[in-house]
Amino acid sequence: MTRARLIEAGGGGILIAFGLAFAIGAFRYRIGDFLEMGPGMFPLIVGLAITFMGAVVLLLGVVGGNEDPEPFDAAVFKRRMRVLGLVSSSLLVFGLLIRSFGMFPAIMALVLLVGLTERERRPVVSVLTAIVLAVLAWLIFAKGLGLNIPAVRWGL
Amino acid sequence: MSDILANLSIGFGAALSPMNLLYCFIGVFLGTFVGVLPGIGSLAAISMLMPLTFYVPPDTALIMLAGIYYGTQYGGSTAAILLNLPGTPSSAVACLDGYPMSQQGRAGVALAMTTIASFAGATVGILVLTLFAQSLAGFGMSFAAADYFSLMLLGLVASSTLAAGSPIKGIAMVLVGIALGSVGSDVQTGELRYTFGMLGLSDGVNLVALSMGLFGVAEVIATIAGKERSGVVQRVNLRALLPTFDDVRRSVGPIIRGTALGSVVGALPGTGTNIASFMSYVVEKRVSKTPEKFGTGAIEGVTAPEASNNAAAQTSFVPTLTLGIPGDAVMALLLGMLIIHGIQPGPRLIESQPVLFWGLVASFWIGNIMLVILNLPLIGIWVRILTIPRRVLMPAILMFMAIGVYSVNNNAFDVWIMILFGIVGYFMSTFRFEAAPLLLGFILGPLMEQYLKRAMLISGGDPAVFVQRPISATLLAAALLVLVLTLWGVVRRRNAEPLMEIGK
Repeated sequence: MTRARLIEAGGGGILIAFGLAFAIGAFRYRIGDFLEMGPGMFPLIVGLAITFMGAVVLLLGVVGGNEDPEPFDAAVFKRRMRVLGLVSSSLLVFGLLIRSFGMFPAIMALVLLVGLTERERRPVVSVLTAIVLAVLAWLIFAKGLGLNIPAVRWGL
Repeated sequence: MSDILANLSIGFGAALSPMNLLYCFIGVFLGTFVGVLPGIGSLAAISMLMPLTFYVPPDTALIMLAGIYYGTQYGGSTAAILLNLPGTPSSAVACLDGYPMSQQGRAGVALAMTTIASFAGATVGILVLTLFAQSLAGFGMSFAAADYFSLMLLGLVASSTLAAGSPIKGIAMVLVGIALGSVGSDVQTGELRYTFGMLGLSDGVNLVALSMGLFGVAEVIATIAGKERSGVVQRVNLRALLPTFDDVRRSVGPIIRGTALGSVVGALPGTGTNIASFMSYVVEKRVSKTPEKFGTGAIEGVTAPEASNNAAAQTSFVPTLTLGIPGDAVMALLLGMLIIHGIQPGPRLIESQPVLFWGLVASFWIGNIMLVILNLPLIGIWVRILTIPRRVLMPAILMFMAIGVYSVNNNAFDVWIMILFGIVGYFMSTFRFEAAPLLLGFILGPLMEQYLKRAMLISGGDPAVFVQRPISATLLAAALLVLVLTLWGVVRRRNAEPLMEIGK
């Protein structure tokens, strides 16, 4: 099985799993009948339709999928996962910090973490970017739009 | 006619207020900005600015977001011509002849002519919108619930199958979007569906968080993980912008044809600017006496698609605002914003919100004039933007998204949703699934469910109502036709990349 087929079939498999879970979940709500459709009817139909489309994608993937994919490159894959992880965690840290400690620490943490994604580190550029962006955000959101997020605070 | 003039005067009265002028400018400015930036599209930009709209009245918000949309059409061609990088999908066509022109030292001419073509196309598009919106809305008044359901079905089928990528996957993504759209409290019973006990989901998945994640975060991840491009950009000075008489003469026909084609394509349900620009490139190549020159810097290959996608960008507001059926994901996002602001889209919108509708139309004229000024004398600024290093730009974009999404409800929950959909969006592109149909389904899903329930209630539980009403039957037949034609194409293995192939 080629990698392209695996990707196509995998996508179909995920769709089938999601569609089935969604359809089964619909039975927790009243289904009703065609005259008076309950809250579960529409999700049930949609879930089954997703399952069906997933099966089609899977089948077409197994039969076809002969187009040439980009060859698997461990280094590229590692880099992508690293960027994905760093960007997600920068947003995660932002979300955790902003309520308790305010805008400045949250933005600094976000910008510095994203800065780690570049191969060539430039700590000075990163710190400067972070400071400038924090001030800019405070001016736009707190001063300009009157958003109620303090610049810095201490309290959980 | 006097009616239209009266309406336009209401519109200009609204659009010329200082606040609306300011937001219109912000919109077209940012639109050009993200249009120039490769990788960040209008969907990401509009979702980034959606939180801002909670601080202004809905008409001002709509003017700004719409400005971003047609602004990106102008800006998108700049990166395409100068760097051979399409800033937006619809400007991919501009690379074909724009970049060769740039290599021949005629970048300035190409940029000037695209701006002129864009303006011409947009102007006609707005005229079409002005003249036909009201009559179409009048027609929409006769629609019953069943007709609406069928119309939405046609829109979803058409947009998911005609867009880039596999049509089968497009339909699957629309369905996933509809599924996500049913999260939250059920309209009729108020019962909570698929919330898993999370309070943050009781009003449904937040639209801003969803679209910022799918488009913004996913695009940022892809941009950082990709190769850093070199910052060498050709310098453009003002004198180099002047086209020769021959350039203008050769562009008149293509601009007229492109505009006509774009105006029609944009107004159809399910078709957007991408299709308009690809189609008009193909048409120009067919009618040209020198088709072999296409791809080597033919000015017709630059001006026709640009006129076409700008005309389409304007006329795509017709079905969105008169029937409540968005033609593409951007329109769906604007529709979603109106719904958040408590405005019910549909044929009664023009009647009940004349200031909003005509103000928006008037702002299109104003915005397009602003764009000409922004894109011709000030082209140097945009060229310089392409040299901002990624390590500064990407953190800035992420920061604006993070604060924006947090500010919607002052709640970190929406940030988690955004992260989740950022990761989902990134993996979707790995598995070659398009995110735009998902957004379309997410916004239209809840409306479809309501129309379906209403239609069934009226018909006494008889599904035959969908084929008995002539309007509904026609629309369903059209949807079926699109579906059959697409599946036929899939079977014949020709539809793997339906539009991208045409230009080659």
